[in-house]
Amino acid sequence: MHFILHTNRGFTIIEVLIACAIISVTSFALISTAQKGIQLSNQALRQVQAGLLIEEGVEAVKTIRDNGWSTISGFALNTIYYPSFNTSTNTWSLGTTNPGILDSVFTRTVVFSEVNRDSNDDIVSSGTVDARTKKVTVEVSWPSSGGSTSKAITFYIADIFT
Amino acid sequence: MRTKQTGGYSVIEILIYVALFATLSIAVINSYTVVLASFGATRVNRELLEAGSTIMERMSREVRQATSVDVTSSVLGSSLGVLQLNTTDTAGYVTTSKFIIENGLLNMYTGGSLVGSLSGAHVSITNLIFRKITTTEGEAIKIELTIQNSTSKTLRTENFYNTIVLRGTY
Repeated sequence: MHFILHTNRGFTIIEVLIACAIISVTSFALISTAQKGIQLSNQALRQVQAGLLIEEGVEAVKTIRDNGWSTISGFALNTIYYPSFNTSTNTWSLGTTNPGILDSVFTRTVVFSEVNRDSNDDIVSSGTVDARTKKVTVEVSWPSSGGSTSKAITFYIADIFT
Repeated sequence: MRTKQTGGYSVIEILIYVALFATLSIAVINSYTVVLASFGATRVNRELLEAGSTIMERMSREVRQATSVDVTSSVLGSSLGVLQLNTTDTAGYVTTSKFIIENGLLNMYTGGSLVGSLSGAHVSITNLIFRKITTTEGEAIKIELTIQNSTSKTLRTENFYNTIVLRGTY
């Protein structure tokens, strides 16, 4: 009896410390997984919102084109423009001054660049400049954990109405 | 004799063990609450994301296919807006598409009959504005949508924006 009691004396401090360490590491892992989960799900929501904002940017450029090609051809090339909407005239316009961050999260930019064509009218990197087509890049960026995330779309817009 | 053999604990030992136990309990309970909170936040995010993308995708598709906006049947420029579009169905017949908020749900009608609700039971629409853009060559609709989750105690609102040119107006 004495012998059994002596060997089952309970935990030593080292054993308790090891148990503590294991539990701490486990709960730390749980917390970091949960936090990563929140981060990813926030990111997914922002991605969807940004996707719609990009689509809006593309359509905004199209409404400007629909009001006359001269506006599009008047934009400076490789210059950052910001789309803004006038709610009293219900029109989209592009300006070089930043109208501010959308929804306190997103920044949306539009950049026009030149389109060159070869003798077969195919778009090439160097050739004759096509004044009736522009390459447009719409980009939406937003701050995220560890810097900034951005999404962009590039498309061609052509003078199809004149 | 027996008690002397097992020794028991000294006050210092008990203090150390109680302190350890308390610290551990705090760590475990804290991680438990963090995990629960993140589960809740993820669910709210998913509800907002699902409702927002479903509503915006469907409305965008309908606007893109439409031939004109029925201005008299629509409520434009203010919230909560109503949008009625003149469109053609897949068979090529002339019909209408309507988006309206009824009893807190965003319902879609085609040709006057209810298709279904685009917003689920988990969200409420707090702001919906349709703006009609008229250009020289056609028309476009700007949609502004704000949705709020209604299932969790912590309320979140998210905004979704889109502008779509009515391809049928070209």
